[in-house]
Amino acid sequence: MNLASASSVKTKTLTTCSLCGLTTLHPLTNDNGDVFCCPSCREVAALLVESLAVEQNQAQVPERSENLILTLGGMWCSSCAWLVSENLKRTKGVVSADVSFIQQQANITFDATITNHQSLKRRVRSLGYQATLPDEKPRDEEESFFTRLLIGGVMVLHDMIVGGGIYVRELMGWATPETAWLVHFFQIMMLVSSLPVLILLGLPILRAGFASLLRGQPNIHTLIMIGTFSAFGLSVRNLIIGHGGLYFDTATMLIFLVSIGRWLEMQAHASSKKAVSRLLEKIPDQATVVSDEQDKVVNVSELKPGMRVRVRPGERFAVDGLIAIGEGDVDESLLTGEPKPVTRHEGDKVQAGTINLDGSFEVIATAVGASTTAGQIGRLLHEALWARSPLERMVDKLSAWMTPLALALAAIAFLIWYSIGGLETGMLVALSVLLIACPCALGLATPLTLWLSLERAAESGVILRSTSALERLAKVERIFFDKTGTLSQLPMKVLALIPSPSPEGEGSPLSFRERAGVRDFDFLQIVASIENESEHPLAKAIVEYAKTQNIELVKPTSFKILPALGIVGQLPVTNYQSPIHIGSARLMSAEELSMSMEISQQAEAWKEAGRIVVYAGWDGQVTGILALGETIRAEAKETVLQLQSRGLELGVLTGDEASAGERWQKALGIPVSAALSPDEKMKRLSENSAMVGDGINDGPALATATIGLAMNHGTDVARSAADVVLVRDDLRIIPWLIDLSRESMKRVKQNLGWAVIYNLLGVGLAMAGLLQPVFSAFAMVASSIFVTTNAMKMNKFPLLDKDSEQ
Amino acid sequence: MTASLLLGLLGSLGHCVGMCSAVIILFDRQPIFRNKFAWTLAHTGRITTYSIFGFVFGAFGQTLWAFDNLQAALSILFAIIAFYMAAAFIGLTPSPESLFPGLVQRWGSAIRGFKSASLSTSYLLGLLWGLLPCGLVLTALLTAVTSTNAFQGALNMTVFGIATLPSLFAVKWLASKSIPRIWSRSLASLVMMFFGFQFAMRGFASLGLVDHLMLGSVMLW
Repeated sequence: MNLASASSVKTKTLTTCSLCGLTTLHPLTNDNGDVFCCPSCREVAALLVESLAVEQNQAQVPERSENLILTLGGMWCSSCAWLVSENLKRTKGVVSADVSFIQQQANITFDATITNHQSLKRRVRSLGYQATLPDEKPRDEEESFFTRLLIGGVMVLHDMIVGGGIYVRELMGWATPETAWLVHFFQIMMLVSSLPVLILLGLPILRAGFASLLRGQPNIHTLIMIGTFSAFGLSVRNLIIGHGGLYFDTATMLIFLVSIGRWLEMQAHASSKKAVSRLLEKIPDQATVVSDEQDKVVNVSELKPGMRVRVRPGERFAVDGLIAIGEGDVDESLLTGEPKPVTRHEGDKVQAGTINLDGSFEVIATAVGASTTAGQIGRLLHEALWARSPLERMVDKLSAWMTPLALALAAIAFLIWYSIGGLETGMLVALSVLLIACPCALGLATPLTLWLSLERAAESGVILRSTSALERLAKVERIFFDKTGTLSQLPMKVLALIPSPSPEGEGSPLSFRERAGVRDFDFLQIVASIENESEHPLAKAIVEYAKTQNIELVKPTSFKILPALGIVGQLPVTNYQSPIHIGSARLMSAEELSMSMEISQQAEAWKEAGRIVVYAGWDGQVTGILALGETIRAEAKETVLQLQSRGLELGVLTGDEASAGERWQKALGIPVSAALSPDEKMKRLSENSAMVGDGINDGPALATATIGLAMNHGTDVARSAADVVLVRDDLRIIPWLIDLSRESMKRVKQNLGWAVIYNLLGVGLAMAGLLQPVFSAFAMVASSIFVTTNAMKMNKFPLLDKDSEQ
Repeated sequence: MTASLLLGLLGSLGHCVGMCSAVIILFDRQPIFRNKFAWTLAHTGRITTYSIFGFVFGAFGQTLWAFDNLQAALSILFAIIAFYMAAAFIGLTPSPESLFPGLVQRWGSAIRGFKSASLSTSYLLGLLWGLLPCGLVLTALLTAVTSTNAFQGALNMTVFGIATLPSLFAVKWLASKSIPRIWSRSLASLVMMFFGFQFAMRGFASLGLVDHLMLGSVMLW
């Protein structure tokens, strides 16, 4: 054939159809000059072009378009959401409708000249779902469902007792013709009492099952719908024709059990939502705004950044902000999981939702509402709870695949048993197969395990941005740390000082006591007392250090801050009144204070080691120097050991110079790669490696790693590039987190394994005709309860030991 | 029935990827076809059309075959048509639809009438889809005529329609493969030629030119 077409090239031109690609000798063309092989291709191409054009026009929004967010209720699965969305889209005047099963909300854009809020709400309601407008109070879905469940339960019990009675009558041989009319009466009673169950609890299942069938994605509700309603139909038929078994009790029991499962699921949803609302609820509704004339109590929604807010002892902060006036202890455990209160001074940051224990503060708001740290964490957590991880998606796919399989198996079982034992046997066996094959254990247990783990982490001060972060954490083999701000402590600390407070006493040749002539005062005491007046971070570090040495500070008689140089002041010590200068080397030379060889050499050495040197001097000479720098975190060593005992490979990646790197390597006993550029850091990250760093500077490395953990010191949570944000400022959270992730993955795998084995065995038994439908239903619910309980155990995972602090 | 099954299964491989893939893309653009159920309805509609045509053409065959002396002529005519199709499939001869350009345009305007597709219109769209003039369907209709029974004809066309489903479902996958188009087309063409041969044999047999035994072996194949 190739030959034939090749030879004909000589005589005729060979062209290719622009639609189907056929090489033809007999082309047709359209108005644009495109070539087609046949009229059909030409026509189809024209249609395609038109449909593209139509789509572009549809993007236009009508002039008076309005937006409405409806809160929905009664949606059982994503197919329900689909049904609502399709219906809304076909409603006149609706431009677009986006229904989220996850958020239980419908986002509708509509033409206000054609339709309105109320009619849209009615439209959703006509489908049998609840809908509430933004300004209405949503109905407590769980409560109303529980009421239905109670009524249904009573009716089911009634059915079971009556059904049991009739069964016992036949079993014991009490069946006599005289009492047959009574049996018939009770049978009708069973029909009557199963109707409320069918309406109250069965209709939502029917709706969900039908919606998923319409959508072409049958799910477990389809299985249950077919199972129960066919059992019910069969029973009604048998009741009318007067012979054959009645299965009202089986059908209602099944609906009831499935509804219990649904109720459990609602509980689980509610508990995972609590993690989010826990954060948002803690932001007070009202705040006291400080103004010129009088303090005013306003709603938080009216607050704006820049406003001054008064916070009394015992109140919660309503905003993120800076303390303008006041000092006191603040309980920040809501955000950090750290129960020990922190002292906050003027100029410090405070976060909304944390508790002011004993201070009286005036705070200048920097962030309000959703943009506060608590709000951001809440939003991240919310997103994480609802973002599907690859694992969950796999489970979803498996479930979607199992439903048609279950239907097919039930059909096969029906055909086989129909040919063996007639219609009724066939129906019963098929029913058992349908019930036992429900993959609900899969669909419910996996997300529940992951949610609870996320919530648990949040309680300990770790925000996981997605459930997939858990999966990746469990797989981590290597952990790399950044040094500054991660393994080291911020703010800076005094590492050494000269003269050192020597324990040997006054023998030191450099002891300032002789030279200064201030016998009652220590060098550190003098420096710290003056520095206490400065707000400089270095000064604060020195004061902090002096406090840890239990040195009493003295109020200076006078002091003056010399910008960019240091501070000068006088102390009410002896009659000696020489001014005390503290600051940079520049300040020392400006004041013509002489420096001994020893001090200047030491200062040079410290500077080379990357430390910051602060000089202090009085009476014509430099009396001492202090070296400040980052120190290793107290818990770093412990963390390293804990991680190593979990079989993890560790390493430090730092941009610092090699000498500093060696020092750290010695201190921690793990390899340190020093003098790395950000690019080089990224290259070191191999597969299954985690990177722990400070969220903003290490952005690229955090994003490249299999999983990035950011130490964020409680701020800028949402901006971080990391998958995991460590709000709690404690490295020991990392081994804890690894344990948590491994534990939750273990439970997920257990549940999956259980569900697979259980379903295989159950389906086998049911197809062999060895399982009564009622037992099948029981077994299904038992399995659901088993996996749910297993998942719920994540709730008991111990929090990071709070008492072992320090 | 084996004939229409083969025609559907093998012929569609080469043929449907071309034009019907475009129809599928066209349908795919409509929101309603995100629903798999709508696709089921559309395919059902398409097959419905085929069976109706099968019924009509079967009945037509029934009438024609009543005239004994027409059989041979018809069979040979069909053989010629089938050979012509085989050539058209690889672009050697003009496509048979070119003979009825008005029909194709009418089909196009009918499709345009169904812009806002819903579940019910997806079935109607499927019915229309079945009307799309297509060489493969025309050949399949020939087998319906030769079945010489209205019901058998309808059944033949139903089987043919079902047999085209695998290819249509695999259209997107097939289109992404860089298998030279000419191969699959040649396959379709070969299938056609086989049918042509079969029709010819039948004609020759009724003229007494070929042994009925030989015909039987061909039919069995």
